[in-house]
Amino acid sequence: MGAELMGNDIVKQYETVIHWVQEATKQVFATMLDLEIKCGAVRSDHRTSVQSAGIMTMVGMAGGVSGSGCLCFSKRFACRLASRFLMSEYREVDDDVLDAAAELGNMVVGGLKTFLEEKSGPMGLSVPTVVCGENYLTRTAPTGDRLVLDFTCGEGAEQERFTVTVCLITERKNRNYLNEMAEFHARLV
Amino acid sequence: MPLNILIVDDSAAIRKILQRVLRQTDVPIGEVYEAGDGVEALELMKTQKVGLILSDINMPKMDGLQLLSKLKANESWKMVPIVMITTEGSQNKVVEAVNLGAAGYVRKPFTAEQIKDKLASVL
Repeated sequence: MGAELMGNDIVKQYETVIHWVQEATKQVFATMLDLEIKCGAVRSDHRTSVQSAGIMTMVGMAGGVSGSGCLCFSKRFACRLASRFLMSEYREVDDDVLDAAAELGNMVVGGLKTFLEEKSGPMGLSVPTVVCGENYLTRTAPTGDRLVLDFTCGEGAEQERFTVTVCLITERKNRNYLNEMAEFHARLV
Repeated sequence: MPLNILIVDDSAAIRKILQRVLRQTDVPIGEVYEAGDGVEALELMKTQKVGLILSDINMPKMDGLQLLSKLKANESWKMVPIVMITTEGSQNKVVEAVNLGAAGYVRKPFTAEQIKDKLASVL
C-alpha cells in the first residue's frame, strides 16, 4: 500500500478503505494532471482540527456508508494543479482555480464511492464545496471515524504536500447517529 | 460540415477541459455550447442545432439520465448521439444510460485520448 500506518486500531480497521482512497487519488492525479504522487502517513485525526492548508474541497457521501471526503492543499499548489488541469497559467486563486479544486475533490471522492459501492450498495455524492482561507477549525459528526492521509507531489524545493481526509459512518452507526439526533431534537421540543 | 457540440456538466472546470480536448480532435468542430444542467441543455436545444452531446450524469435541477430520456422522447432530437461523461461508478446508472439510448460513456477521471477515441467510435 506504500503508506506508513500509525499503529492504532482505527487505521488498521480501515486498511482497505485507505488503499481505495490512495488508489483513487493517485488515479485522478495521474490521469487528469499527469502528476505522480506518493502516499505518506495515515492517521486517525482528532475531530476538531485547525486547517491552515489554504484550500479545502469537501464532498459528502450518503448510502450504505455515509460521510465525507476532503482534499486540503496550499493555494500555491491549487494554482499549480489548476494550471495543469485547465491547461492555462494560474498564479492566484480565482474562480477557475476553485472550480478545478472542486472537480478534483469530486473525482477523488467519486473514485472512493465506486470502490465502496461494490461492498455497500448504491451511494450518492453531494455537490462539492470549496473553502479558501487560513487557520479555520473543522469538525465532523462525533459518530464518524476520521482518517487523514498524507500525500506528496514532486521532489526537493518543488515538493508539495497535501492531505485527503475521509470521515466514514457505517449504516449501523448512521442509524445510531440519526437516533441520537432525533432524541436531541425531541429534547429541544 | 462542422459539428456543433453541447457539453452539459455542472462543473465549469470539466466544461473547460472538454472544450479544449474537443478542439484537439480531428473532428471538424463548429460551435461548442455549454450548459450547467439538464434544464439549461433543453433550453439550448430549442434554439441551436446540435450534432453531439457530452453530458454528466449527476447534476442539479435535471440530471443526465432525465435529460437523456427527454431528448430520446423528442422526434427532433432523438437521433443526436449522447455520450455520458461521469464520476458515476455505479454499473446500474451506466446500464440505465445505455438502455435509455446513450451512445456510450466515459468515466472521470478521463484522458484526452479516451475522449477522442469515444468520439471516433460514436461519430
